[in-house]
Amino acid sequence: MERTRLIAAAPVRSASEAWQVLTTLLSDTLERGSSIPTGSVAAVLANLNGLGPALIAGGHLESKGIVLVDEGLHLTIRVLTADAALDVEENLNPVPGGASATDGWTIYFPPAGPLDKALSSAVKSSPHLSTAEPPASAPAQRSERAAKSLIDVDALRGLGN
Amino acid sequence: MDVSELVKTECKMPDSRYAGLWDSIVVDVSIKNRLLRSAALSFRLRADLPFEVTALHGLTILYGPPGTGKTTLARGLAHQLAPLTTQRSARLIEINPHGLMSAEHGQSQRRVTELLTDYVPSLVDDGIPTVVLLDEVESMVVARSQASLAANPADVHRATDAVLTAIDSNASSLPHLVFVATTNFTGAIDEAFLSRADVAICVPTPDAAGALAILKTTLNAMSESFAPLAKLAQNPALKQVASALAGMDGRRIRKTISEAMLGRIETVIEPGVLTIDDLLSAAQLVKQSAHITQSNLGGRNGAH
Repeated sequence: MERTRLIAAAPVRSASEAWQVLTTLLSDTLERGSSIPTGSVAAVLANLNGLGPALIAGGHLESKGIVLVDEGLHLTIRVLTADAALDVEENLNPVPGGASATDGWTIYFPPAGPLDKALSSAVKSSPHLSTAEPPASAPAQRSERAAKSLIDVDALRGLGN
Repeated sequence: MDVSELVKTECKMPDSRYAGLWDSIVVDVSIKNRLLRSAALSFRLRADLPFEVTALHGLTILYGPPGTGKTTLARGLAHQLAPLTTQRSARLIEINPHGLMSAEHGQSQRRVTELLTDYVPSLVDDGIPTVVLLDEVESMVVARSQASLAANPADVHRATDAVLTAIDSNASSLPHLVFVATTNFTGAIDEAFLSRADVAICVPTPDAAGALAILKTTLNAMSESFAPLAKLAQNPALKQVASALAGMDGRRIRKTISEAMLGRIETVIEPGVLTIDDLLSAAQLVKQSAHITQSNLGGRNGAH
């Protein structure tokens, strides 16, 4: 399921603070899964700690936003400024789908104008970052996981009639 | 308002606090069986088959007069399901539907959507089979056919739409989630919501045998603090008390015991000295009081 989250930047909070909120939202979402170690998402995004706030301040995450994609997960995060930031109703709860995230998660960044070169260079630091066009939808979950049995038939038999 | 505030309870089972709930409700065993089987079957079929095949929404409605134990059964369901699941765990989420409705334009719909399609799915992200209890659901799925636009803001209509959309969405995307909705007013619930129910189970008022079981259970539980009440629970004349209370709701039947205790100052001081005569007198009082109340209401509540 495709989901969108909105984060307010200036004048509600500074670009650096907004980047921190974005990082926390991604960490809280992905690190609920057992296959994503605690702190690993923030560590990947630390490679962009100088650039991330610049992307926000330049308004490069306003219209397209960044897109997190994993099996069963397609999340767009847009960071708004000016009047739009004042009107936004934020939902910073972890995004559904994160608990089953795999190590194949990827964050796609939109074109960033004059920052494109710096961004392209920065995303090379991790296979979880990309400047490519994100897929239109989330890849399907692996069939063995999707069809996981919920009920123990033997336990049901134990109930009798 | 953060929608997380609309979740009254979120806990994983088994949980000792919920262990006794299921057995505390005295109803025909077929009612409990039907409720438990409907949830287990929903999990079993929806995990393996697409919605287009099963047409199951994962929605059960418990209806009947107030005080019959619908909410308690729904709360106890998750505890009963836990040992039947492959993970030996189940979750109960209890929503406060009254908090969903807002006087602010568009807020009710927004809250419903955010709660049911975003916040609740994020809580059940771990795949543990989950029961979501929508207590007194009539407050969130108002029958649109009976609601006048003049008397009911369009916001209420949109909120009902949002609930239906969320039920449809979760039916296929979250096969490990079932909704259990309780109501005393089936006539006030939107028809489209009722039609989505996989099963609707009536929880009636107890008959004489049921009333007797409730009285015995309550007296035995009270005897842990007031030992002589255990003997009273075995008194054959308790059947007469139960006969007088047959057809009343379980809550009222339980309260007949405290009603009997307040009949004499001696039983207020020492509840263990309660007698069968105290109970018989109280049963008559309760019966008269219920008769007057029902006459005044004139069957206005529309409970089915």
